[in-house]
Amino acid sequence: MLKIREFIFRSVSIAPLASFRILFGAMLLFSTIRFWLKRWIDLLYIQPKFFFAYEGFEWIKPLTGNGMYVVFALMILATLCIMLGFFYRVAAILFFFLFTYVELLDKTNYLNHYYFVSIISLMLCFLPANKYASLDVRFGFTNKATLIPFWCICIIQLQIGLVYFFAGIAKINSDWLLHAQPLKIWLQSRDFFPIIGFLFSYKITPYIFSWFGMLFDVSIFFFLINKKTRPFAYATVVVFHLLTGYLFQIGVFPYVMIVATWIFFSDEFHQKFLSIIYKDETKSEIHYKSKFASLFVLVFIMHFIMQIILPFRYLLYPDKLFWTEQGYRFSWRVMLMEKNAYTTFVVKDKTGKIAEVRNRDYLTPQQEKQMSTQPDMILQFAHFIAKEYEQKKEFTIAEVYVDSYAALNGHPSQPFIDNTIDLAKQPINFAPKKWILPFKK
Amino acid sequence: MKLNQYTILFLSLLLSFSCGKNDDVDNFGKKEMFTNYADNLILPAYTTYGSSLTTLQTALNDFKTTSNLTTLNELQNAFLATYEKWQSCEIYEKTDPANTVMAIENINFYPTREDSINAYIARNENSTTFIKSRNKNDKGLPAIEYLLFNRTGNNQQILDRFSTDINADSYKAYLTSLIANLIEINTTILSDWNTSYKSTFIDNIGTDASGSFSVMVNSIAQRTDDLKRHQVGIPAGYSGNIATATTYPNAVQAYYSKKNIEYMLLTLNNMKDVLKGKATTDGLGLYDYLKTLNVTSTFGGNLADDILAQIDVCITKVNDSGTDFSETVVSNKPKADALFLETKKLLVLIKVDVPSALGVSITYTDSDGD
Repeated sequence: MLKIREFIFRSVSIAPLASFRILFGAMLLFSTIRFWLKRWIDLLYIQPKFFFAYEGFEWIKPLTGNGMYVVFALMILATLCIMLGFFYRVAAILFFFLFTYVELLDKTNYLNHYYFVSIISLMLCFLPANKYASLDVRFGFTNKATLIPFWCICIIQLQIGLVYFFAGIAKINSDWLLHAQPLKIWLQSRDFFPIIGFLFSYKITPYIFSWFGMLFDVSIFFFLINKKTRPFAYATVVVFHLLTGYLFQIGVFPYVMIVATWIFFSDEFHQKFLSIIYKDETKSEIHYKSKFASLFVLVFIMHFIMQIILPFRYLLYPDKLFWTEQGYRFSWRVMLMEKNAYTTFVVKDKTGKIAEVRNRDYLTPQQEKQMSTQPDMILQFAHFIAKEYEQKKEFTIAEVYVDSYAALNGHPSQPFIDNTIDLAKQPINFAPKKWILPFKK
Repeated sequence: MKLNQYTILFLSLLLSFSCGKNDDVDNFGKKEMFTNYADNLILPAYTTYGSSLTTLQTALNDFKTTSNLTTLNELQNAFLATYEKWQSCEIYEKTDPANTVMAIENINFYPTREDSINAYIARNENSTTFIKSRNKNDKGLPAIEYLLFNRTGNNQQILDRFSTDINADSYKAYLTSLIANLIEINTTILSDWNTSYKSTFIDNIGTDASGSFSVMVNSIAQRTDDLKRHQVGIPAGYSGNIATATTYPNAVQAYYSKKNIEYMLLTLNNMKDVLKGKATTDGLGLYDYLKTLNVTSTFGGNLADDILAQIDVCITKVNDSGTDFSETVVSNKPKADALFLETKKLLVLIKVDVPSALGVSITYTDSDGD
């Protein structure tokens, strides 16, 4: 026990944390600007008439007018401040809250890398990342430090390790390993890509990619923390992410990971890296001490326990996880499914009124695509439709029935939702959804 | 020495690759397929439809010069030939040029709105600019059909509209503008294809939202949806996939000329040809590509073959549905229900199984995944 305490509180150089702050801040700045330029603020937060709230977060609503643009402008400012280490603590807290607020607005926008950014930015709020190579130090807003306790770096490393490890664990399933799905589908459609496209016409290629991907994810953390294997491991990280970034439409995620994994490099490496932009004249050692260190460490221990439990919550639900998606999110499951569905809604009432819902009258294409394959969103939309028809189209106690067919990972299509059940009467909660029809092999 | 060992390892790896090579997929010419689509199916379809529109316009001019039962009959025949040709174009509605002009809404939206058409004609509102600005229910082929046909087949009544009726001139003008409007739209579509879109279509062979795989699959899926919904479902009283007590006999396609069954058959047979890439000769099509992927369908057979088989089942059910679907939904509802059920099965195959097998996005979204 004492050894562990010594290990996580031992003094290490602040350099890795400072350069992480700069690189990660720059990455966030870039991706927030990119988000704005792609007009996604309008598309995802202004255009939709209905938002798929997270259970328990229904009170989180988008801002009207130019409100969402203000949020993103503030985020850009905050990421810039994080990068420069200028009013760092305020900026980190501001960014965490704004970013998490935006992500909580609509489930259909959920991406694991957004979840990752939320967690890391929360961690940054607690870390003394502005005590070195920052404007805060230069202007005397904070005292400089050259040494910090190891837990300040360790938590970021652990979090990154968890992401990879659970992404790898999630790949240990028959679709991925035995049938090379969904890679088989995705790669065959990319056989015309320059340079490597020719590989995808070999039957064995998706299997090699699948197995390599699984082994990479499960083991990369251990190769990164080991000094001997680190250069090779990092090279693999770069190649792996550049390759997936090239092949699939996954935005900035590959670059976020390429940047984030720098945290594994040695103190000397980061000193050298920082010396490009920052000349450290004083050679003295200044220790950083926080009164709350023990409390912080306790909080993060609890955080990691939760992180380990959450991906396994799916075991509480019956049937195939990929089919029901109960307990799917917040578990680092990436690129595991090719799922398509055709989902239609019909509203009825006791007076005999009946109408087919045109999903696109209420949902953006992105929302409709996400909703049609995910039962929790189908249910939320059914509840919304019931209210909408009772208010605007004067149905008395609207009943909502869903007819849906879905195909998953190369398996043939099959009925997805029980079309005899009025979903308007089914509660929105975390209990198993009995109206999802069982997955037939 | 070490290098040599690596070379041997690399070579043997390559060798093992070539053993497991899926020759069918590798040799499949995706570009060749889309070239076949553009050159041998899509462009000829629009061109043929375009020339029948020109013939229709000539027949209209003849009719306007000499309005009698003979010229009316010629005009009607020219119209039916045009409507028939359109049945082969509608399946391309999600390709960019058609999508941009909203082909379906502007060319073939039914049921047409009799009241408003009558009112416009009575108010002498019939210029081409007026038609262009009108709602989808007031124009296109169904509006022309309404002006040129009635369900009793009494052509004298039709002739009277254009000769003795108090609004005869307005009738002629409205009809003239409707046809001119269709010619203008088709010219736009064709020139889009010929100037820039063709090369985009042939070169962009990806499966992302703008890739031609997505465009073609989306197009065919949309056509199947329209078949299920508009040609069969709504007249037979279906709301979504649920049967209601009310049927809508006058909501069928080609209600006035009673060609609805014939056009359903054209739709289905054309769909088969499009899937096979079959024009005058059988070229490469999505069917051939799907076949190489060797995917199992929900019916247990090869997906590509099962789709064609399901189209044949639909054809059988259409043939069972009498000669006028408008009457079938009233007098022989079970036949209509049976057809609806089969078109729905076809739709699931095309809308769910095909995109899954190909990995295409069925809806256009420009966003990141993970």
